[in-house]
Amino acid sequence: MPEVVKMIIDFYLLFLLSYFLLSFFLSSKRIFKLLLIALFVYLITWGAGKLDLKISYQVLKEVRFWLPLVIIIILTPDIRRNFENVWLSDLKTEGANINTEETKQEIIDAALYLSSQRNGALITIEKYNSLDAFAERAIIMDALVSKELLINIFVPNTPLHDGAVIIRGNHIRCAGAYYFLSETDKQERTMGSRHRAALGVSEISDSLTIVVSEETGNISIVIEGIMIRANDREKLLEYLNMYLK
Amino acid sequence: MRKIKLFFKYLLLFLINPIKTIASVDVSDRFINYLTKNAWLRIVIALVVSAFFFYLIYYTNIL
Repeated sequence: MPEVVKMIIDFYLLFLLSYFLLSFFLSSKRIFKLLLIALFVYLITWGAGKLDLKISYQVLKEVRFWLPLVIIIILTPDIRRNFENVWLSDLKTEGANINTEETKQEIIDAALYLSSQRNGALITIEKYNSLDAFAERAIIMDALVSKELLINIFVPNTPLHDGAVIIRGNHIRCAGAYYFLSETDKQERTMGSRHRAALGVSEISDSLTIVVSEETGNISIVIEGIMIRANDREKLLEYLNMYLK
Repeated sequence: MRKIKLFFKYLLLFLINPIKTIASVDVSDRFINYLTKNAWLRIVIALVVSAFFFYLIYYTNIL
């Protein structure tokens, strides 16, 4: 085989690998940060080798050797999930950008009703980052969004009312999802677990979450670790339109 | 001015504990989402990375 053809095939395979790895590392912030740490370790190992720093180089060589294994062990669940997401990303046609006006109105109507009844609620609208990690452990619904269904899910003392509803496009992906609670100290210490959960999911994804407080009936919108009070229809619609365009 | 101060703060933290500093870098959602949405940009970056390694392996003795 001519040398040029070999080089072209070599380059093509290298490109495929780079593209796949890039898609994989971008699928989660945690994995992306680990990539940065790994790059740093490789860089200083290379630097130590070049500068002939004998002890550092020996130690760092060992670290460099074991680092991939350590990363794989730490991130096993994330890696499995993100590999699946990378494979399936092309198949995910629904995203927050195709929430129809009707869906937005149904969500707002439900939030306002739940607020008037002082029923606590947690409704997360997925954007580009997949929330399947939480949906997998919840009750999958895949039902069209409707005000009645959302209200019914959050009726007190029913099996699903404590968890969150995840909305993907125009469908309720699941109900009864449980998020990690935010540990931020920027908010009040007295904040309830529902609001902490909303902040928690907003810190690790680009989703928008609507929280209805059980105690006060207040409606809040949580985006990117920020909580905003939005008690009326206009404000809710404004935020939904602005963030989910 | 604030950004300059922040840069030196990060620099100092980096010298004290580089791994923790890198882990605490606030990766922008907008950046990740933009790359996730735009396949062409990922292709361009993958091409650049591939070309870089290709150059290192075929034309230099670094690796």
